[in-house]
Amino acid sequence: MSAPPAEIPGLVSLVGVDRALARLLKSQLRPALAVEALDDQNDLFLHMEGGGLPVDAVVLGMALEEPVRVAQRIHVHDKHIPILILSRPADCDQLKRTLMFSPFLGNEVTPWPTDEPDGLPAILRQAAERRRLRIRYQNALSSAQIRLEKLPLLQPEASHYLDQLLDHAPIGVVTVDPAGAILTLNRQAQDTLHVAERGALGRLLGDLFPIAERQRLCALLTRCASHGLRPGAEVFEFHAANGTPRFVEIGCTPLTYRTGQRGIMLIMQDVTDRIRAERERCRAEKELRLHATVLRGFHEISSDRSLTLEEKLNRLLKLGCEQFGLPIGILSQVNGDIFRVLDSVGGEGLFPVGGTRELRQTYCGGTVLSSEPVALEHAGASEWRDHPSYTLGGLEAYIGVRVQVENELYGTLCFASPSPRPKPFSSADREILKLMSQWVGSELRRERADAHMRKLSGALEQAVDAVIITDRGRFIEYVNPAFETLTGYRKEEVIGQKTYFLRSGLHDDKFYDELWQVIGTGGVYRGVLINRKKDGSLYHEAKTISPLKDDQGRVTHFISTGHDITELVRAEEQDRLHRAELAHVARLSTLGEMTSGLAHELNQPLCAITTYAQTALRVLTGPDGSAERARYGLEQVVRQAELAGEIFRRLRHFARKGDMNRRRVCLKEVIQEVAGFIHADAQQSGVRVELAVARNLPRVLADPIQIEQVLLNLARNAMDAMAGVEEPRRQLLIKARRQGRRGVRMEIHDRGRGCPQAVADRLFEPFFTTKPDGLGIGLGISQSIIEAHNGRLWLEGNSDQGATFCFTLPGDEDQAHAIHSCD
Amino acid sequence: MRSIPAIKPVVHVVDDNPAVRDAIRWLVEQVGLSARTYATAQEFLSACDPAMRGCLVLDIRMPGISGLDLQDRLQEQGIHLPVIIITGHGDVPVAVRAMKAGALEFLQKPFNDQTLLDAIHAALEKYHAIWEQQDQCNHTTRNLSALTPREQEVLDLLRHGKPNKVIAYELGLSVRTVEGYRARIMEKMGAHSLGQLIEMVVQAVPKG
Repeated sequence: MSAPPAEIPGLVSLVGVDRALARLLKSQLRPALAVEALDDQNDLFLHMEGGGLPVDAVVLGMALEEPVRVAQRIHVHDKHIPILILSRPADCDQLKRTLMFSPFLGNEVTPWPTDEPDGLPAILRQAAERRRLRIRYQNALSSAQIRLEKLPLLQPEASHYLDQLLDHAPIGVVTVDPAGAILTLNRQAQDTLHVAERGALGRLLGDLFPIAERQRLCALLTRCASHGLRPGAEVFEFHAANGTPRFVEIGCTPLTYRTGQRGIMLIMQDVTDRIRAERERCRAEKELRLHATVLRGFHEISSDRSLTLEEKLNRLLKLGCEQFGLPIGILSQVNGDIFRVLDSVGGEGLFPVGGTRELRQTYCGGTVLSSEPVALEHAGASEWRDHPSYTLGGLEAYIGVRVQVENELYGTLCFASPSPRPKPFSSADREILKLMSQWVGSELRRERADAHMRKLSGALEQAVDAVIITDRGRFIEYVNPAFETLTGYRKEEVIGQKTYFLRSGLHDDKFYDELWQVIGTGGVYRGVLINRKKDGSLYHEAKTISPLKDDQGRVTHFISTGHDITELVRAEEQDRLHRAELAHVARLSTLGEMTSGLAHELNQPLCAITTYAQTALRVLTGPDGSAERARYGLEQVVRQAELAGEIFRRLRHFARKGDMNRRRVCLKEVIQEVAGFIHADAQQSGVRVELAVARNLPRVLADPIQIEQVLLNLARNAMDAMAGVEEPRRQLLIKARRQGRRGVRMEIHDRGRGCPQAVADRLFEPFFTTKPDGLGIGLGISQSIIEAHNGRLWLEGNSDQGATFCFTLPGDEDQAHAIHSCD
Repeated sequence: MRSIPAIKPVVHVVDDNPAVRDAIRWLVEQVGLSARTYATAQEFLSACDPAMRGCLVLDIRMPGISGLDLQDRLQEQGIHLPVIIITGHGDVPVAVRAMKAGALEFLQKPFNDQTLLDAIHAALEKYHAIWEQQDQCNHTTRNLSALTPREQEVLDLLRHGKPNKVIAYELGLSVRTVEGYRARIMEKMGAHSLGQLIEMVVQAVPKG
């Protein structure tokens, strides 16, 4: 850093400052600062405009009428001159505000109160110092700038270095004179333009470009040179040495040399790759648009629901003809060697719809073998000229592709023309044709699947069985009309629901868990469910639920079919009840029937006995009565009496052993049953029946039918016994209570007249009866039955107030733990 | 006058119980009647013929053809036998039906021996006259069939009360020849007078 120019003292101008102050300042500031006192501001302006010493600070005294205006004028010359405006202390603030809002004033204007003259010299010194420093700084800057401009001249090495830098730059730099002759060019520019420096210097730049581009290049240079503008970069095409087209982008800037000579600097960049990529993109875009157009056509055709498949295919053929510019479009089905025309556009003469050909005779014979389209633009000028399609059909242009449905050859889609196609088929054409064939394939497949589905769904719709299809989450997707009829729910009500609404509540959770366990693991469930209809009624449904699986074997849906078997179940149930009832009645009536049969059977020997005996008597009392003649009859009497005894033994045997069917019986139920049986009789006979059954009655091992027979017999006896008493007294009481630990004791009370002791003693004898139409075997059989059950039957009470028959049934002590009270 | 030999009546017993059958047979035989026993109605049907004389003691309740059915069959075949029904369990409807079908008696087993015998005797007595008349008719019919056609022509005219002269005239015969025929007819028919002859013929062939 050079030493400050201390030899020149700074200058402070005082304008309109009173002499005393001026003297003070002079004395204070000298010798560091020179002070000049001016009476008039004009002197100052003259001084400044005249290029005298630069003023380092100005003090505007009280003598000046318009100090602010003067300050403004000073700052017009130099904004950085510090100015102090003397002012009365009271006006200082006001002045400060005025200064703040005054235009054209720099920052260095400060009001100074007149009552503080002592501080003034210090302030002035500081201001002058700041001013001097600024000026020194500015001088240093401008001298550095000058040195920099002189640098290439002063230091040739640096210049060379810059040239090398330019040579290695990835962009070409060329300078030309305004006429376009090359002045300099770096290596990259030589490479780009394929010229050597020696050959290039002095040549017109335009000569290196193809003729087609020269004019444009000249125009660009002229625009730049004459207007001094930087026009936007432009792209020019030229041919590289090997003939391939290349592209350079050229930007240019006007240039003025120190010598005053004008020129143009051009920046060149090889943008071949970029341009190519761009063009490729454009082409792809165009192709895409083409595809899009065709696809839109496809979409319009395929989504038009009013069209049948045939109409759609026909439209597609027309679309293809239009697309490829060929008049004939054919969709064929290939079956072995047979090529059958399914649909044809424009080629009805050669290829009538439904017509067949030998596959080999058609271009399609080759097409079906390839997954790619087969295309020929001019068969007559190619190896295809011997093909029958050309020699016989005269088809010059052809493009075709095979159509596959579900990976199997279906046929071909092809377009042809009897005249050659001027333009070769592009890859886009091939792609479009492939797309078309795929679309046809998928349409055909969909149609096939649709037809299949229509069949299936038609079957479902018509099915007598109710069908529900749910998704994997068991939400209903479909129900058929039979379901609606059966359950009363409408389709709209149930779709999207789970099937819970059908549950009757009669099956427990375990039941459903098992059901889902079966079908959840891919099995088929078959069973009868009781479900609830919408109206709340229940129905039995024979149901089959099976999972539907996709190709991968995953369960996607569940399908449930079922039919209402309520009637069947009801009929079966009724039938069963009926049969049970019949069997019951039949068994109960056995005793009655047996008695009737027994009467007949016993009557026969009885009749024979009577007749033999009477005849024997007749013989013995006859006139020639001989005991010998009577003997025959008496012998027969004995035999018949024995026979009668045998019959009765058989009867008792039957009662004891016959068809014993023992199980654990709740006697309360038996008693109630008997009460039901005798109800009608009791009403008719005016007998009140009362039951007194203990709550803790144990179950006993017994044949319930036999016990019923005994009870029924005793109850009928009791009612018969009361036939002769007045009606209010006719009361039958059946009591049952526990006897011992597990036994039961039953009592049957009547309120008849009882029976004499003599009768009571013989009651259980066979054929003893007190009834006019009685047989005298009921009690005997009853006793046999009870004894067969290891119990006892006896007459307990007998008075003119009534009789009581009792019987006991012992419990099964061995299986005590298995017997429970039936309450 | 009774030159026709009377067929001895037989008591036919139909009962499925052998002891009852045998007892009745033994009883009937003790009073001097003959008896034949049958175990089933079918057996009786195959043995019976219209000329049978006697009575039928019939059990109603039998396996196969019942007693009541047998009664119907006999009527269909024109066999007239007095029927005595014996049954183990007589109820009113069965008894009524049996009586309507012509049963003479309805006895419940076991029956009193005398009651049965009385019933049998009453039946035989009642049918005796019928059988006798029937025998007479049969006899006359047999005799009539022994006459020659000319004799029958003569008899037919006699029946209509025509004198010999008229008969001779109508048949183109002499009176003497007619008298000869008349004598032969009387002889063949076993008639002692013209009146008896006419009576016999009218009884046997009621319709002239």
